Amino acid sequence: MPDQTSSPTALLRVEGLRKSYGDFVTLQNISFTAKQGELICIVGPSGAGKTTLLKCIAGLLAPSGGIIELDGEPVTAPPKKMAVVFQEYGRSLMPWMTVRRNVELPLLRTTPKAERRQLVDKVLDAVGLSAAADKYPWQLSGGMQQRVAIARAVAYSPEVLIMDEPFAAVDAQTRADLEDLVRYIWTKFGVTVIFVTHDIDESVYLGQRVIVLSMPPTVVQEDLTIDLPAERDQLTTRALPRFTELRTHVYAQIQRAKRDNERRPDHEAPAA
Amino acid sequence: MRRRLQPVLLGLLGILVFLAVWQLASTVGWVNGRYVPPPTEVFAALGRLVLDLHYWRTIGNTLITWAIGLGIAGVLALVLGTVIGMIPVLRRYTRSTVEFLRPIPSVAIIPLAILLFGLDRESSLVIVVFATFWQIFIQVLYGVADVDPVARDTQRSFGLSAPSRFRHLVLPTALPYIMTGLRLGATVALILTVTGELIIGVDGIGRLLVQRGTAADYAGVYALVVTAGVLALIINLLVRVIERRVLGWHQSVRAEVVL
Amino acid sequence: MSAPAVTRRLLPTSASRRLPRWLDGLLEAIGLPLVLLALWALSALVAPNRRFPAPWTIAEAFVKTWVGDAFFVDVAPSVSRLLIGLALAAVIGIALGLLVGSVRWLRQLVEPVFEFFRAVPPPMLVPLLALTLGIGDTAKIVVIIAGTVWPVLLNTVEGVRSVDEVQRETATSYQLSTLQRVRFIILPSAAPQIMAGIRQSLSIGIILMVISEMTNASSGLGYRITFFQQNFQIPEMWSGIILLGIIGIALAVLFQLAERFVLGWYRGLKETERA
Repeated sequence: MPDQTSSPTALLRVEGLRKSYGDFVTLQNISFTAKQGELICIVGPSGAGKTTLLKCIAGLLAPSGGIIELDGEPVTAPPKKMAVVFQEYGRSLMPWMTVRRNVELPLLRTTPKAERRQLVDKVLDAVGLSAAADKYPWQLSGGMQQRVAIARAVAYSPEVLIMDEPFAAVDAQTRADLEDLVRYIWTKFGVTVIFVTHDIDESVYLGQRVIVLSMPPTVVQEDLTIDLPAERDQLTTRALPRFTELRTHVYAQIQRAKRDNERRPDHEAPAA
Repeated sequence: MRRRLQPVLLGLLGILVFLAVWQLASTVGWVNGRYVPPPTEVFAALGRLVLDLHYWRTIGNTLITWAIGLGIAGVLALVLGTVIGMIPVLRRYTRSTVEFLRPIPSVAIIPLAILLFGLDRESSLVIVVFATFWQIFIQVLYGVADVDPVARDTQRSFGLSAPSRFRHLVLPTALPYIMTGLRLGATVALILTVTGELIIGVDGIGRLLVQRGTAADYAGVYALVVTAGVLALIINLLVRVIERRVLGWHQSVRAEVVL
Repeated sequence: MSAPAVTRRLLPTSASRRLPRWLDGLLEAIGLPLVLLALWALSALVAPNRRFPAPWTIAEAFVKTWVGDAFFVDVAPSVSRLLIGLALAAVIGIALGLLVGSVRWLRQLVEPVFEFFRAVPPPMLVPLLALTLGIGDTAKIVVIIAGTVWPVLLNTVEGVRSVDEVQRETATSYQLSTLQRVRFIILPSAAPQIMAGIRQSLSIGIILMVISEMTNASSGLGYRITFFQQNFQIPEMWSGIILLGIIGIALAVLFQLAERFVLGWYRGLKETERA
């Protein structure tokens, strides 16, 4: 687990990131840094290239230009210290393995058996799924499956946790619980979290910073600091006037991004 | 453009490489060149056969046996499969018998067939029909049983008569399965037809192969194996075309009918 | 598939519904077979036909023929050749299938040739391979492998190809080794297709085993049954047919058990999807 007492330094550095498919430029120039222990949300309109950006950061997609560095090391392949929680939770869990086995899988080579079992029990408890350890993923609800995916990522003890619209396919009530779970995991295990979403309220509720993307060719439209209190909860935080101000601001930014895109002469529907 | 051409080119390359290796192995001596003639000789033999009327008559005989066997098996399977499939009592009581008879290898029946019909085409048909029947029958059973009970009850409550329900609900639901059964059955029927020719000696590609083998025309033997392979591929292709035609039309009708 | 419970209650109850469930099940299982057996026995008594001996005659011949020497001379070797051939074909098919399925250009290269080999009716391989390999034990096993490897191989290729992209990415991002990927992701994911391929290979294998013994052989099940038929030993011939049937059924049952073990999760998954 990363040491939180040391001075926060730039853990993840993205500079001038560019991704194009042939003539079509998805990501034009993305630059931001994430310090150790930060929770950053990335929002953008549909088609902004959020998933493309995430995959580049996660080392699953090769960028066309720019720099991505984790801990000073350039990212060319999925880095060891990074874990990804995908949106398609149903497809990222292995249906032939129990929940426990699924969470254990990334640890098989790195951790001895006794330690593994303890760790798995600990993370399953942290996400509230201790009772489901010996069930199969398809026996669980969507929200529970996503929690298993989160538990797996946390058990891996990464420095950076990447989450790609993980709650998009989950109902609103479950989503609220899962949002709080992310904050809980973040504070308890001290990971740096990059959280991509299209849900503006979610991004303001969760993040310490919100990065707003434009439409393709995508740039960072704004890097907004969320000055809400560190202790947040669904009822009070969302009722704060500052919350409303911030979310309105982000909403306006996104609307602006969409309008700017439509006004462009060579306006084209993006590929992904 | 290049992307779509690549698999075709690679595939052709693979065939050429295979033929080249075969040619080499046979002529250089990695395998006995007498018993495994090189592709050049095999294609020469094939060329000779193609010009021989007897060759085409033989293929015709194989196809006749295949078609009759497939036809009989198909009709039997459709009728029995539909009747048994639609009446739950029958389905339950025949289940054990079906599961018992199904895995019996058709070849086991050959001696019995010979006993009953001698060495004529009828013997072959016994084993062809036996094996093909099960393939199609099982599919028809599944197909008829797959009818959505909600759709059935809905149609019933709207007062549709049984024959009408059959045409508008059961048939469209079962059709994909029937097509699958046809495809599997066509393949199995060919296998057993050839088997009958090899063992019982009924006229056809199989028997011609044995004859060529006895006459030490090994290139001819290989040429006939190639023939059988090509025949099987053509049959498979034909069935798939039929499948796409029939199902394509029915899928769109189905979309209207199933509620 | 039986009618939903509501409909059952609305239908008039017949006599069989008042029986306890286990009896009902038993009746369904042996009812028709017993009737058929009885008909056979009856016709044997009423209208004896040399070609269709009575069930008890066949039973007697069965014990006399197969319980004893013949088992070790003909049955055991036949079945062991079959099992060895099938096992080797499965191993080769899966191993090659994993390789070919994972390397796109390789698959595109060999697929047409393999599909042709698969299309050739397996029985034709018997005389073909007999030319080169003769008629010994090895030859018979090679014949079985040559005919049964294709469904396993091509199904494995298909299974490997259709491994979910998200699962692949998960494996990559969690740094799984190649061995771990194959063992924990690729093989289990492809298992349904692989098992389907193995099921096809079972029936082809039996056919090849019998055919290779009916032509150019001096021992084995296929040889024996033909021998009986040619020498007009009808009850013995029938007993041989039944024995082959039993072997076929035994293989099918064994396979079903294996499938249930390997694909238990798959059935559970499909049931949940259907609900």
